[in-house]
Amino acid sequence: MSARVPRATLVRVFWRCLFLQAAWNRRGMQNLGFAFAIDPALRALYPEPARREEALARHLGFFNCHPYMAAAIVGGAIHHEERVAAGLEPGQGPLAYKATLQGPLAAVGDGFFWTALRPFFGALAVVGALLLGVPALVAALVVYNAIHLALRIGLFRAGYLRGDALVGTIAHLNLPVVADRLRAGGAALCGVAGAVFLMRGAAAGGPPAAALAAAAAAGGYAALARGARLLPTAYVATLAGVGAALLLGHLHGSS
Amino acid sequence: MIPLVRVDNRLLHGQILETWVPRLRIDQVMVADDEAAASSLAQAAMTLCVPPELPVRIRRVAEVDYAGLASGGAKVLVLVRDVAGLAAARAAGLTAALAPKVNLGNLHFGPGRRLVTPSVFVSEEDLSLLRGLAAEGFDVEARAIPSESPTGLAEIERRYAAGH
Repeated sequence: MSARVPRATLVRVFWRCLFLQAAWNRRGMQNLGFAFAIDPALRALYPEPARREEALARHLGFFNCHPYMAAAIVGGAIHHEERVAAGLEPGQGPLAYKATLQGPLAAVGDGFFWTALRPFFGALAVVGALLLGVPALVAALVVYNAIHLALRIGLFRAGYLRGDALVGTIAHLNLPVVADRLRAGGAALCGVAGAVFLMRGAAAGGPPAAALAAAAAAGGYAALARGARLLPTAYVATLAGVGAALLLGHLHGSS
Repeated sequence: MIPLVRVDNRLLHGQILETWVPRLRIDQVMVADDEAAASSLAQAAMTLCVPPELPVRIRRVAEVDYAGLASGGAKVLVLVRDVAGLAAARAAGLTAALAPKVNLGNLHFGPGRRLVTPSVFVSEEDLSLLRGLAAEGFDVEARAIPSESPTGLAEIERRYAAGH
């Protein structure tokens, strides 16, 4: 008898993948989330309580990955569990798969989602909010999550259908190259946001106020280029620019 | 040269690629791990996650030419899976003169292991191996990423002794 997980169960597992980090803990990190996500599939594959318990227990070991990329590993683990249930591989198979892929896929996910796609949409939301108002924020969130969910579903499917060949599928997506473009685009959008701020500042407080703000931004940029730490520099440059512009605006107004 | 030997249960992942590699201006990564060296899946996955300008080699712990890496011009980060792997690398020729800096990045929980930093659990056996390495001149510290403050071996010992 070949063991297959029904489609409706796969949908349920995917839904549960969205709660991967809900029980995050230091010892096992995402282990409880992973076991919770894969549990419906294990119930479908192992009707016998003893085997089901054994299968669930093996998925309670340490697991940590990028939360979106983890969907691919959950899918791939089910691929391997089907083989275990059919007697084609030992129970160690799904564990080796998880252990091998969690680090590299976490690195891919960090690089693509956290340092490229999300900052890009953050910058897009800022520019949109400045030019079009609050609805642009909602739109940016909706589009970001549509892309993220589509990728997450695709990764889950690729893991389930292709098992070890998942790595080839991900390589094919060329995520590092796309990430570079998104980072460049995000930086350009930040520049646009800065320009809009300056132009509005000039309109409200006069050209000297805008010049002071631009000087603060340039100073911040120079400090960053020389290796200063990002957050302190950003706060100092913002406070200096806003403070100087406000002060000048005040003097301008009271004179 | 070998600016850092990193001990990490997850081997290659984001913390290393996004923080240590740029901070130390690393040119190459050498993964010294028997299990990864035997797995084509591990090799494909690790190749996938690094940028093309950062070569990654994966070798059995005993097959790495540590002296050659240390004397070469490239800055190589050597990555081992656990403290036992570190001791095996020492036995295979990785001396404190070649690579004095050892960083414990992520060591997961297991039976008999106690938490000494937010990401590092050590066992009594790990500690005795680390003590031996420190006595040879290795500078052992624990931290996940370079912007955290390092926890030295003396403090690791103290926390283990006080541990839960």
